[in-house]
Amino acid sequence: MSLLSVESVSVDFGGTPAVRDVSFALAAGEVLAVVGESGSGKTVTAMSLLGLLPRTASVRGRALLNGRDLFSLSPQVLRSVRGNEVGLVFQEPMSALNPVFTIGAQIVEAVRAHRSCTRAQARSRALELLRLVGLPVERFKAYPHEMSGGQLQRVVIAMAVANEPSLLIADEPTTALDVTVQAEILDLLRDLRGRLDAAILLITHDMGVVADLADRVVVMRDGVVVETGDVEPLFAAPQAEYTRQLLGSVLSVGSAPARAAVSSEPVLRLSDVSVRYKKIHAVSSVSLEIGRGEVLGLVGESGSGKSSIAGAITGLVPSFTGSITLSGEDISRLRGRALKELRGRIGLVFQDPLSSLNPRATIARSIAQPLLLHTSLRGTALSSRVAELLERVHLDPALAERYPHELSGGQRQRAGIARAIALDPDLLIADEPTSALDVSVQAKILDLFRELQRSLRFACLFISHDLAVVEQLADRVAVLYDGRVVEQGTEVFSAPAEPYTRRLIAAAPIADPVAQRVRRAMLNT
Amino acid sequence: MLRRDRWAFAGAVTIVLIGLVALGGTALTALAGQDPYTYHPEALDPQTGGPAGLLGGISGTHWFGVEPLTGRDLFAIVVHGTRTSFLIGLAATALSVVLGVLIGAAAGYLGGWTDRIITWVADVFLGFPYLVFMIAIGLVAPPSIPKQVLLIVVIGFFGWPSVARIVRAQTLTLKKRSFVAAARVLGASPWQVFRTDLLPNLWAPIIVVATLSVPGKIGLEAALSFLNVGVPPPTPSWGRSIFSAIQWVATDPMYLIFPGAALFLTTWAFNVFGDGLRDAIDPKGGVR
Repeated sequence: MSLLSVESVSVDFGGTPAVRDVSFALAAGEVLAVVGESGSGKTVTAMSLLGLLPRTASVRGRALLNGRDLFSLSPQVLRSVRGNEVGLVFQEPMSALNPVFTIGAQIVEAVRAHRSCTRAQARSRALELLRLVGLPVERFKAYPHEMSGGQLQRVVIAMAVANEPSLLIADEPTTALDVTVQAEILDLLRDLRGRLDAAILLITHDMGVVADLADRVVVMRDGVVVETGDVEPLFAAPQAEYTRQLLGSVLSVGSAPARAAVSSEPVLRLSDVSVRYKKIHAVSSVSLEIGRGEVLGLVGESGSGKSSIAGAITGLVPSFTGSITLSGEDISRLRGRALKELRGRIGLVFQDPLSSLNPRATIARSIAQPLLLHTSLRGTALSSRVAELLERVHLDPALAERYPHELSGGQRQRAGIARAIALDPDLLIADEPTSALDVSVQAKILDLFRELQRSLRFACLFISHDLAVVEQLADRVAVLYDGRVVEQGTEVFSAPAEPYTRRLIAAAPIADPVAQRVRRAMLNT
Repeated sequence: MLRRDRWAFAGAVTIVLIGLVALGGTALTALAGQDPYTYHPEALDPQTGGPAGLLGGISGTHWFGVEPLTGRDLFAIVVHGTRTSFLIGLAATALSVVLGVLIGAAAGYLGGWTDRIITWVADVFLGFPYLVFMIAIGLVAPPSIPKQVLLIVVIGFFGWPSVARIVRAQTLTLKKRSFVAAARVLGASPWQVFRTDLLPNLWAPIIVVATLSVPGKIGLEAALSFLNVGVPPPTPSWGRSIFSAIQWVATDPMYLIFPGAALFLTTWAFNVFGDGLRDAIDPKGGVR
């Protein structure tokens, strides 16, 4: 008999269907992954199980947990189900914890919320839980802000399993984390499932995570289940067209062809650049060069100094030591008009396309901004240049008068790219340009990048935490760790020399359950 | 959105009506055959100096009755007082909004010492006993400056810190968004960033805070007139009427009720309308 059985569940939000006729079952001790892109209804389905949807939602169907229909339970009973029989792990560990209490107090609270026990008993249970999730016992007195994202996620997991639930729902548990941390959390989840014999309902967009952890997979799209199956056959021979498409867009390290080094006069040269924020060394004597038409991939985890380097070049980080030259001109020596002119030769693409476009300006106005600031183009000449740019990034010119919230994520990022190339820059800096996008959209944006780079021949600094994306695009890669370049060259991925690089590559799960198991076995020996 | 909020809608309608009264005051009082300056001793009770007749002398000719001692038409005084209140309330609000937006945006966007100094000054202003200051200014200012202008400048000037605080906070959150960074990276000057990227995103909170601050300004003008440092007589003013009505409240309560009700109605209308606006705009987090 299955532990959880979801039977034709549909969810409407004020008449708009979000989930239609979803059915799946989960056996005890099993890991079931619900995969889909944004808007697929995967999170809505999971939240409906615990009655955590907003009031406007209406839910139909049945969800049986140990034979009890969750949808027919009263709010009081449902509350005892949450935390007792079902544990929840959220995407953002920082916002899931209360910043003014120690993590110990919060775990004790989670223990006492659902069982009657003395304070001392709860405390010893909390310490036991800390050990279970691999945190040192001394951290009991630590506040959330004193801990890293990975440690916080361990705390959240400890709270979720406090009362030994039979089902753990994990909603994108590793999305906000770095790859090496993600690998540790996935290990922890795998370990817990073995030890507690809990079933895990894993909600994710990441095929690599699915391949690493799941036994069975439910693929969702637009609120409908398109395919269900065991993980190995599903990855090896996907039945549905959409699953094939999704797996086809997933990038894995080691899949891109090797490239020859481009050698020419460097457009951008950083020598011995350091950035300090008060006492913290964000970047320590970094030297880089990018030639014309070359793409340098800058790889590193959060806090490695990637964005500080970009900030030093663009002027968003005002003070640095060392020298940065763009096309032979020293940036830190320039002032006034000459500096403004130089800024026009740098294009910048941001991570979150919604935040990077002015919500009160039309797309055309946003794309025209660099032209208005740096050229004398006005009126029809301006709008024809904007139309030309829209065409370049394959956006319908009819979208010119739309506002950002009326566009999809991919369209917004295309508009962001159009703005970045408007002045035909010498250097394009792309700071995590695809991290906020779904995989299928990401693939198209990367294609666009490659096409533009080939035709416009700008030097490109491509910053990302995603090794596979960087490998696709970059001619040369620099690996950043703790503010230093630990390794750079053309063969960083095929023949990593540094242990950190090797660890980074090993930590990125690949979307193939069989190969991933082999890699994991190798890693653990 | 506003139509669903009945109170806000009622407030908006009231504001429009009062605005029309302020604009067409002269025509309206002419319709009643009155003006706020002419004395009508015949409408007074010669024994007491109070209005003759019931309810402060309400009649077909004097719709709200008459003022004690002078016999001036109370309806005309209240209607013309609307103009004084509206003019000073709106103009002072406009002045404090312009100052507050510029100063607040500068503090939020430029940061550093600019921000620190502006925040200090704003805090000092917020805790300043401005009523004392205004009374003093009202007494020492040369009479060649029209009192209305003086009131607008003084009330408007003391209103900027509350606007600046809100604008500064909003600017700080906007500054973190990458479209502002995008403009800065392109070499846009602070003024260009302010005009194209900040201001369009600040309108919503500005309109709300402006609407909500109008009643306070109108009330302040009334308070100053009450203290006899407001608009000089014989220009009608609700505040001054309320002040003189206090002495007659036992014998002629209607003299207090009409200007008091007008003041109440106006501040109420702006408050509920401002609240409704905020509710209509805020759920989306200020910026859509």
